Amino acid sequence: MQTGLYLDYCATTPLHPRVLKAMQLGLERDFGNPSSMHLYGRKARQLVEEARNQVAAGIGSSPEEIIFTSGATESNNLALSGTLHQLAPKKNHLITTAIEHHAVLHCAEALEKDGFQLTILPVDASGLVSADDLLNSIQPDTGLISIMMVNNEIGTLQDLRPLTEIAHENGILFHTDAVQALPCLEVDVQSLGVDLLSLSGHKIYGPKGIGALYLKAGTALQPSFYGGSQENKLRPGTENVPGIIGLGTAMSLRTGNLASRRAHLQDLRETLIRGLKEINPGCSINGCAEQLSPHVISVSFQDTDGELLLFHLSQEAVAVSLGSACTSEDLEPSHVLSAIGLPPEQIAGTVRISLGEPTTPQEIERFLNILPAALKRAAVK
Amino acid sequence: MGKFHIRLVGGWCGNRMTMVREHLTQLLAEKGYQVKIDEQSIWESYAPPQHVDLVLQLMPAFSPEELTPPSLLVRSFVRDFDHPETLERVLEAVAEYYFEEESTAQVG
Repeated sequence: MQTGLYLDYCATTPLHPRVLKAMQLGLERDFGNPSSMHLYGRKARQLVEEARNQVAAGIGSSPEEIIFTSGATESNNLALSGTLHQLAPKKNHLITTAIEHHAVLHCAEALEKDGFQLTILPVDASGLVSADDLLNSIQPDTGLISIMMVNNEIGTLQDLRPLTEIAHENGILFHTDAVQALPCLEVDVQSLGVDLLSLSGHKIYGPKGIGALYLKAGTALQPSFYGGSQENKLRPGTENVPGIIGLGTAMSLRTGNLASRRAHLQDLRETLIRGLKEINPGCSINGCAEQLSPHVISVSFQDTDGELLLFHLSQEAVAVSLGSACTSEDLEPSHVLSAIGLPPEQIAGTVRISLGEPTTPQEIERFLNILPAALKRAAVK
Repeated sequence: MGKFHIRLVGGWCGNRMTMVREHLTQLLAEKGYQVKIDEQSIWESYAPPQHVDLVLQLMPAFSPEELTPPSLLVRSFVRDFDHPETLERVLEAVAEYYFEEESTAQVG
């Protein structure tokens, strides 16, 4: 049987064995409801609070500033919608960028339909936002700026500090989606200067269905749900205790080996890009070469059908992602690749290879051995 | 005269393939052609289509050498159902078939 070769760590990551072990206890032994006063409830509450400490330690915040959610999509929605509804009608303008995840962009568009004002900033060819553009887009009623830390398709890392300074000089809250920064970069809410930050469990070897929102102390937020006092009434509903334990464990494991993980991924990235260029000298690597997260490699092959390439790689049990996302009724070119100015033909030949902690040099070598035949079969004559 | 049988070959986005199929079926019916179009996603079956009159490929999945029936690459339909040059090539292929069928019928 052919062994699979997983190179799609931006989509999701496997559960770390220690995360699984910790979660099993939460599922089997410590099954109590954290809101219950008895022994079972108190034990579950203790585990939730331990996890909150672990998440907070991982991003340099206080535990009280962590709200557990069902994942980054909910965190992003809660950050945008909760902040703006809280600030309206005095402040009802939102600024974001053209390369945000749909969890931010679609939420922003929904808010616009509800009467909020929306400005979507462009990015340059490497995916960076201009501080001047941000400054020029600020209005007296701007309430929130939301700019992601690492882009999930091209890996570009925004230098957030100058942008958060602009926000605060103008009395505006700043939110960042840090989901793809967490796998291998330092994320510290104090040095970034953000007021809200979204994170997800399953991108860092934790479970799916769990995430968190960092909400700086003193920042007011309107909840999206009602019906309980959990998470300081900001996210009511019985806590997903096993998921929370998993997220906490994943965060503590991540913090422990961040530097070595980054170095490992950087080495693999360089080997991979060198190999790609040898196989296909005309290929181009998207994103910002100077500011990036090493685990994301977006590569455009000329005269290539990306989906067909994905298919032929899949026939060899290789898992990578496409540069175009098929939505419900249309095959839209990726909004990120469009925003950095790639023409549709180039987008159609773009794939995303994303590396993870378990990726080995042997796997990269195997991928580079498989790729030439797949590229040949995916050529657009 | 039997229905002209077209196989539309595409990828993951089944909705898009269905939309192209429905659009072409309607367009060809309006032109007076009796056409049956069915779909084949490469993710479900990667066998070169056989026993059809024409293969339309939304992606270059099979080379002409791999295919017995004639084939056209209609990649432009992914972004534009009404891509003029591509539509013209499809119409030409269908018209050619009908012309041949008619000639055969007259000779017979």
